[in-house]
Amino acid sequence: MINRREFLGIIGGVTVVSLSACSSSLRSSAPGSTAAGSTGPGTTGADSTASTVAGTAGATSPTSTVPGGTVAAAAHRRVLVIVQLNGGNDGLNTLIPAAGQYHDARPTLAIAEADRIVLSGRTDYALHPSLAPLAPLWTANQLAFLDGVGFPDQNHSHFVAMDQWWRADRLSSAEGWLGTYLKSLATTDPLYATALNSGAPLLNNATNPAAVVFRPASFKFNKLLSDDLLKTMSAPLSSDPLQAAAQTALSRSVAAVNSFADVLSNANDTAQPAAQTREGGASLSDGLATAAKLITENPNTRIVVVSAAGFDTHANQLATQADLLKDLANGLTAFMASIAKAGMADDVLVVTTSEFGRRVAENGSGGTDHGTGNVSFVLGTKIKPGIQGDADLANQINGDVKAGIDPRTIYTGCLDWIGGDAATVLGKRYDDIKILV
Amino acid sequence: MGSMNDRDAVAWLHRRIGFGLPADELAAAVARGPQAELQRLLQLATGPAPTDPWDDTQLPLDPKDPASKQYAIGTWLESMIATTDPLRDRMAWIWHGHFVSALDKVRVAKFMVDQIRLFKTIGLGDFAALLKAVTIDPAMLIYLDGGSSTNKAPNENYGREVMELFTLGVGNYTEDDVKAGAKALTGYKMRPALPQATFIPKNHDDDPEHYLGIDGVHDVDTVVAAIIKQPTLATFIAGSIADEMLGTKDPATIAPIAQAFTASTFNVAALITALANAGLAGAGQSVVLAPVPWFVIASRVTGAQVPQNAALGGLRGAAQVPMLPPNVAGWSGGQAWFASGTIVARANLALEIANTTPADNAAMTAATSGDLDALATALGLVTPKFSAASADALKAAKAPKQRLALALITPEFVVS
Repeated sequence: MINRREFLGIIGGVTVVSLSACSSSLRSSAPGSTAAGSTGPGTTGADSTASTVAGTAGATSPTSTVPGGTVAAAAHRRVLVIVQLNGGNDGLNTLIPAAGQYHDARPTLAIAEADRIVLSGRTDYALHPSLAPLAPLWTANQLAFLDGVGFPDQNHSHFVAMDQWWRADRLSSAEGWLGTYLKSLATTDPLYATALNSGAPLLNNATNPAAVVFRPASFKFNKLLSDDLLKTMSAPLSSDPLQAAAQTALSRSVAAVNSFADVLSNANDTAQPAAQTREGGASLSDGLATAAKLITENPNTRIVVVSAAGFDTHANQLATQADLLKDLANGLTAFMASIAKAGMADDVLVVTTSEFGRRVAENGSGGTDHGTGNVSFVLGTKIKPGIQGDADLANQINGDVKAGIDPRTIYTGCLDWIGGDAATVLGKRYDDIKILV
Repeated sequence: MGSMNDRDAVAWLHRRIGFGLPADELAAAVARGPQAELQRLLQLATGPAPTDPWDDTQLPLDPKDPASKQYAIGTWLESMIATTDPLRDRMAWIWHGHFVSALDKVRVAKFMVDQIRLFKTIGLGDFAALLKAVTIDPAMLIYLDGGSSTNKAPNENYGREVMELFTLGVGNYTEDDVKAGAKALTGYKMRPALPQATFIPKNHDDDPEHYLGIDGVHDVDTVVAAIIKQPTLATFIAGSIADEMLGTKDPATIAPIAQAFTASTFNVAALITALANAGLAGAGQSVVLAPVPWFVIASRVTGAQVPQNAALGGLRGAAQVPMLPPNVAGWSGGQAWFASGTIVARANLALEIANTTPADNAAMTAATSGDLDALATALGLVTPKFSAASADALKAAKAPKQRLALALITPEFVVS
């Protein structure tokens, strides 16, 4: 038997309260919100070795050569980071409207005016107190908001909503919208597109599958399972399509593991991710810290998706959302600082997504049920600043914020940023609003 | 697959509707023949339940007690490996991924254990009884907020998911049905801090509702009755289980299974009988084993006893810990298990299995001698042969444990 503390480390600290239960991420996603790494004996020794090596490398050679190029060569590439808030973040308590209907609809959940974080230059909206660390980015025009984001014809199902989001509403497609873009590229670096914390179906495609890293520290094969043996098993491909997919995934994983190990050993910050402080899987702070390492150390990484669950706050929303937004704000703030420090501030675009907003009125459980229009954050130095769209509480649709901004307008901006062809990927361009300057 | 011989047919049954069998037990089952073995599994699973693996004295009603959470999960995993009633346990596992609750929100391990006990006790019986029991199950009342839903403020969480994910599927109900069902199910009170669920009549909205096309729906019994009357129920449930066991949701394959389910007035054992016979006759596709069933099958065929910490750590790395599904839809399954994080963790866990496999186990003996056909047979593969690529890797392995670990992550073992 094992002791208690060890077990909590193993399964992820189930003592901490969290309320992510209704449906906190997407059905079609790769597994992951309870995911994190093995602490089995096979990897423990290797972990400590890796951090020793990494520490040395970081101290002596912070800009050392990495596979496929050097850090300096990374200066003029465009990187896209998508942050997924799975479960349906409550946008109204995130970017808070000054309208009186907000207070009326939320007798226990409304954030008091005195507690809100002022957005300089705006009196019509303010931020949740947990988002205070982001205020300087707003002031510097490096943080913008889109309000009332959502697909038309929503039915309040997490899974239908997530399907719409990851497929860009092409509901018969097995590919994610970024997967379609990835498929158009020549064979990519195994870390070209990387999902952190959990899988990301928006990256689904058969040609250039994304790496999926649940927990960086355990993303390595035991040395008895050598690359040669695993690669031998990967070819020739089986005639059974699923077995062939397993083989392809295996060889791609071997490559991703090796590339990832090089990244981590080159990164200056070799600290292991902090112990998890909440349920629902790895934190956004940890995921964004890894994302920053990947982007600054691997010139071939262009797309990173970081996910976290727990935003499905049907009950006891105040405490839960405060923790989640704090994690988001800290993660984004540290990420933007790391990117700027590496001289890459102009190269990175960050967008947050969440499958839907929540009902305007609170429910009887101290929470909110599934709604429609929601808030997205856009971060970077090349973004169109300010707030676009709105949460028009005087004109609700059946108790929901109207979805006035089609998510595909965001995708169009993202594809423009990374050099994709939005018209091809999405069927047409969506130019109702611009997220870039 | 239509031409499976008895050995392969029995191996198929145990991989798909059980948890695999070690070589000697598989040989005994083959001697009985596929039909007799299917009947034996069904009789076991619908007969008296074997001894319950959990000791309630180790399951205090304390949301903050970590030891009970470890105990609940670890004991379940070990009992799946040790099972003598594999269909019952495989079905409980499948229902756990269907009628989802998760320990991180339920918090009290005993409530999760009681829900699994429900699946083990009535999981192959009358579906209506199962649906009613699940609807007012304490863990479910916590997980989908039914335990805080009152006439003054109905909570739609369970009311929506019971139709979308548990019984009918999207498109087979309206938003008005969600609201009406939520009202009819109000009045139950359950929180992690309470010892049991209670029904508080004054918190219940007993007004007759129009729900799923039926008038007068006002409580759990009438909600369940209305759902059971829906024409899409049988197809949805048959599709959900066939997706797990047959690797397909193909309508032509599902239709006769759904028909058998309906004809039996929604008896789950009848559904499984039809499904298994369809599979034995060649219906279905490959299935990707999720990490937990993969680990259970691998542990059973090798006789390995991976220490609980390594087992749960490995499964966590592979993104599937029993009682901790990621969301109300359960684990995604299929090719989602080819995520690189899962592949890495599964490979490392395979080595743990090989490291704790007894030397006299048939798979270990074959791994030691290098007889790959014997190894494939001992591992219970339905088609007991490795591909050329797998065989090359297995031949190149230097140590028996290394060879066995590799065999456990071959496409033939993980996908079949």
